[in-house]
Amino acid sequence: MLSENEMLDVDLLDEDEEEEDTQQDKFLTFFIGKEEYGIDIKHVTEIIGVQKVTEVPDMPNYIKGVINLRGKVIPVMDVRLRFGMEERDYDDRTCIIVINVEEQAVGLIVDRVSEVLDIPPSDIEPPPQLQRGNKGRLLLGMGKVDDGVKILLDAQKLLFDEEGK
Amino acid sequence: MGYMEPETRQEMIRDFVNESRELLDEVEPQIIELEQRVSSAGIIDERLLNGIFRLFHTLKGSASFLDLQVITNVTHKAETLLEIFRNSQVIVTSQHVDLLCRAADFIRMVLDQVEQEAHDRGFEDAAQSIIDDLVEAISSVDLEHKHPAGEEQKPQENGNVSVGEEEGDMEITTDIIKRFVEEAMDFCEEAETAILALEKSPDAIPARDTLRVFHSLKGNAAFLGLPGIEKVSHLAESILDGVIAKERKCDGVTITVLLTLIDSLRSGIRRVEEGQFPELPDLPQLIQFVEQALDMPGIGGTGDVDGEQEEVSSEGFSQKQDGDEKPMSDQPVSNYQNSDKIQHRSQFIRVDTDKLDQLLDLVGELVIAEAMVASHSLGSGYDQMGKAVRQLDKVTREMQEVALSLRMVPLTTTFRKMVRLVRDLAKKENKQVELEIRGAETEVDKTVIEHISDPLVHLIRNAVDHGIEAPAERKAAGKPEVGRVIIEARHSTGEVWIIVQDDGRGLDREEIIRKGVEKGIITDGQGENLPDEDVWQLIFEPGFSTAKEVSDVSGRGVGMDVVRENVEKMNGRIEVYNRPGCGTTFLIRIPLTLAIIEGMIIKVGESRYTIPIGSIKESFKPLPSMITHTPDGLEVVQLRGKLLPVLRLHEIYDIETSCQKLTEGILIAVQNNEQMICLFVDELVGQQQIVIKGLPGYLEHVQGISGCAILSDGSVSLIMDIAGLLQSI
Repeated sequence: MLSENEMLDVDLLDEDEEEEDTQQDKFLTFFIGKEEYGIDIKHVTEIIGVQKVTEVPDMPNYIKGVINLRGKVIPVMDVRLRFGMEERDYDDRTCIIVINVEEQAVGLIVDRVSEVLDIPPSDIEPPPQLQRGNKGRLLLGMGKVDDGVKILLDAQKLLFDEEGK
Repeated sequence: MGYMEPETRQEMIRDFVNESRELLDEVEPQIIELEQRVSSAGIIDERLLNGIFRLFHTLKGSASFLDLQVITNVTHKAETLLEIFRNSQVIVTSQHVDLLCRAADFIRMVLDQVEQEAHDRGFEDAAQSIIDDLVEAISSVDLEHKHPAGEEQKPQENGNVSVGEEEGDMEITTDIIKRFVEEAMDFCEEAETAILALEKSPDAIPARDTLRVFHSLKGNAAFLGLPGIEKVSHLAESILDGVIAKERKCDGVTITVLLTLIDSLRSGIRRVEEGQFPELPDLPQLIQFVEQALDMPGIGGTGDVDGEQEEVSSEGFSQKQDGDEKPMSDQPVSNYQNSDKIQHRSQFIRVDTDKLDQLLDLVGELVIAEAMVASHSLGSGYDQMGKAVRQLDKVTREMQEVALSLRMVPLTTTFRKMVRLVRDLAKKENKQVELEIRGAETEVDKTVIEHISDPLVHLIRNAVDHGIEAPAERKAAGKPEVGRVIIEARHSTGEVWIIVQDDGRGLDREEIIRKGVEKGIITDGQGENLPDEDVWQLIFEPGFSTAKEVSDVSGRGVGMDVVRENVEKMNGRIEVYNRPGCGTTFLIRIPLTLAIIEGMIIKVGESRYTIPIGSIKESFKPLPSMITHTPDGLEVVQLRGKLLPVLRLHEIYDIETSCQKLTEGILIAVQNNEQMICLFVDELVGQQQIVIKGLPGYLEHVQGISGCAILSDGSVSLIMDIAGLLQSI
């Protein structure tokens, strides 16, 4: 029986690795203002257009409220406000990136979605330490790509880091 | 066992765990029923016995197929015991029933691990202790069987005392001794820690666990025929018992005596390990010391160990029941209280295949209806289109109904668990209680099943503990000595009624009012004028308890508030009917489904909120003459002689709106319990059936919001939690 158990583990491991292989080092990039940001693609479930958001009282200002995603109610966060940037009216390029972290689906409102990039770990530098305020803690690092630098976000901290709120 | 695909095994484990849990739920009431039949009619009910046997047998079979050794071993021994009952007419005692129940509890515990880790390793020791007890029971029953009637007790007794002599069937191997020594040393350590803690804070009531440690040690020693250790453990147990019962002061002397006892136990255990006999040569001196120190004459008798032995054993029997019972009556309860934990288990639901077929048929219909709409939308006449849409509408509605009915489960399992609870409680309280279950097949929403267990446990505890009187008292009052508790479920006009009824002494109005004043829930003098219904509702206030003394079953002032809280979570109500001297009836009324409510949608600024129709008393456009402004900025509206405070929704939810004057908008009078206020909103949008969805977990708890609903245009509306809102102001 032990051997079968081991086999089971090995099987699962293989599958996981395969799955991760295809997603490894890939980042979905999007714009907020002039800067381009990236988020690990393994968290992203879909991208939808902006839709009517129902406000929820007593929430931090960057939680815009909730939306109906095909029968499932999910909260949406305005990433601009999360970073303490100025609010901007939504237009036809505004998108909601739905991410799933720790079983929680959350929509991220961004100015516009850009592309999917391969950024290997060797091209990622740690976030700069001396940043204004402590917003740097929400970052995974800085991704160097041919034509510039993408700011890579730590999805987990983006959603759950209380200090940053 | 042949090769098994890993996925297959995983799936089989899952099925096994689910099935086994169901089997255990089923077997427990049967074991208890078996006991009841035996005590009432004096015979073993063959049918029941066979049923129980079969269940354990099935468990054993599946467990051994999946190579779950621990479960296989325990079930095998339980089966052996049952087999003996089956083949001979040995009377099943409550000890046997306790043992079988314990085995069931144990397997349940192991199943939790099996579900997570797919193996049952790590429980060997715990299993061994149950197996040992089962073996003991088997051999004693076997002996009884061989020496019919008259000398039932004796052979066992001999078996106990004889270590070297080869009487009785029990074979004491070095293995058993080794295990005993290890365990006993652990026991000593555990007891010592507890007693030292007691010394530091003598006011704290020592954990009953400590008592159990000595008790277990006593039992093991008796089993191995170690009268010295048995006697000393018994001494320690009774001293501690005195402390717990507050009959004995817990001073330095007591602590010293207890520690001395533990020390001598240790040296005794070491001697056992080395094979020396007797294990406690200085027992008489020790007893003398304890007698003098604690002023307990006669505990040691004359030092005649044999004479002592019998006394201890007979007493030990009744105490053993106490000790054994304790974990049982506590365990189920703690299970219920940890319902959060249970929810993390993968959730399965048994669905009638008929319902599934129906759902599939409807999905088929839906596809046809959709095709009809699609084809007619391309330019055909309005009539045709209208027909197609109506068809679509009808199918969708039916489908929703069937989908909802999939969530409906019978209360059978929940009610069955109460059988064990009542038995354990009654035994503990030395009362005789009969439980009657009615309408267990009533189907309720799955959420109700999850939330109803706690209230039921508390209500039943209360009924047995406070409601049902002791047999003597009942007799004096001219009632049958056996008390009755009835739990009943039935459907009644869109609601599920769950009724807990007892024929005990009933609620004491004066006592409740007195307690209410004492606890500051009502003011002095307010009580006299309260109608009965309001007085009974007082018992659901947090911290309220009328138990004259705190017992460990109930009466610590927690519990009944949990009942009301849980019932309110299900949008239900609880009503109390009382007949002094004849009993109390609790009626829990819960809406048939929690997933759909009738809601009023209102508009404030651009936001739309939903108010459950049940909370709304009425809505109206106020006239200027109805409104009064108080100096401190509050607004009060007069409605048919009642003065109601006004709550502006746009203010509490911080919403921008052009509608600022009360006369321009709508006032909605909402009520929770006796509290009533008016909500000010811009306008009413309309009433509709809404499917309730929880708020996303990410948002955590939002004050005044109980969930959300999706409106017909696909947008989300927040459902207002009127009770929460009223409490917060």
